[in-house]
Amino acid sequence: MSESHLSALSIARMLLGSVSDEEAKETATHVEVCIPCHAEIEAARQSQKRFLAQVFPRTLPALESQIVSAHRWRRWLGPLGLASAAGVLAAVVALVVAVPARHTEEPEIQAKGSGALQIFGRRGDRVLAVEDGAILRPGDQLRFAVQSPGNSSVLIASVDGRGEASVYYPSTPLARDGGLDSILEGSIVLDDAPGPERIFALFSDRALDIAEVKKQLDAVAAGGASAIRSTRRLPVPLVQASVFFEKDLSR
Amino acid sequence: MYPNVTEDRLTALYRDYGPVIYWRCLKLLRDEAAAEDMTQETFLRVHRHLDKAPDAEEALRWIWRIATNRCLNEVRNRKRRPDLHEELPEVPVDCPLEQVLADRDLAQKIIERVDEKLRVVAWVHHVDGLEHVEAARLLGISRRTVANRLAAFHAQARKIIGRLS
Repeated sequence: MSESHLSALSIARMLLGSVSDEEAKETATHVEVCIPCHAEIEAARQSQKRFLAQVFPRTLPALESQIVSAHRWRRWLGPLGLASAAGVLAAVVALVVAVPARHTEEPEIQAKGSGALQIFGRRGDRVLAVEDGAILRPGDQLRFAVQSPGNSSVLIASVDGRGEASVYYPSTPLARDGGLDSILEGSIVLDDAPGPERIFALFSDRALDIAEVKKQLDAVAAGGASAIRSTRRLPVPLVQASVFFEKDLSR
Repeated sequence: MYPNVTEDRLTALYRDYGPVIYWRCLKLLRDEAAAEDMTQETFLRVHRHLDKAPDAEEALRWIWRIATNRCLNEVRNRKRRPDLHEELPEVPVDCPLEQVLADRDLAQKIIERVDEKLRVVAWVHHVDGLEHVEAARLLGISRRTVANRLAAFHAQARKIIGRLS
């Protein structure tokens, strides 16, 4: 096929006008006699038109909003720097090694700053920055972005106002394609459980036991709404981050 | 805030390359809403590495590569969901491999079932129709690596087709 048809990249370059005159002439000659390539170029042109007329104007504000939100997040992490974040992680790891297993209380040194969770909310065409205390509604769509200083996977779980524990992402490998942070694939849609909900990101290098995580979340739920609002960390020796929001059922 | 020049550059990249990247995502994902989301995600990633963004034609290859990788990951994730699992058609046992892979739809379905490492190379060669040298340039790997991965892909494809026949 590669000898007889235009590649998708060639068509893209052609649409962008970044081919030489000679290439353009060859392409035009080919397209005159090749029905599949002609159809492919037409489809690409239609898609291009649709993007410029509808998708671009509609999504540019959302893209800019996500960038501003991500920038705020990076600014928060920025002063720590990757090296110091790794240092904090090393300190946490050292502490975990030093603390006997029977100690289940929170470690003295918090891992704050060594792992981060950012939640992007979407309500129709609006993109919302979900920070602690944000007010969300049933039906809002949430996506998660995480930053780990070195752990290879993250588990995302939550406990809601009904006291229900959910694991949205079991230990999920983090992308390593050049970025320091990863936006997790897929999204969740909020249900109508009232009151606060806290979402935890637990970073690790191994698959975490879901039943064990749920047990920890159940313990938070047992403390009621105030515990959900105030428990920023689960009592497990892992790098973690969390965000809580309130659900507004009145609209 | 970041310098305006950076924001302006991202907006310009989104306007200039967004249409072809959207088309790329649409072709790979076959779903308009998913293609919109993936185009935005691609440019979010572009924004994070804007300082490394090459100029002109290399910029297209760079963004194209990011979009391709992300879309193929999405396709892989969909395949993990059993309700979206598509059956492969039967292929005659004596049909030469090149002839089987010349059917781009069938090639796509076979590619979605092979090892991740081989998937992108197989896709850009057999579905997109890039020659070895172009594939190597797009993916930032050597021609030898392209050839080796395609050979490994062909071996896996033969096994998959063998199971169907």
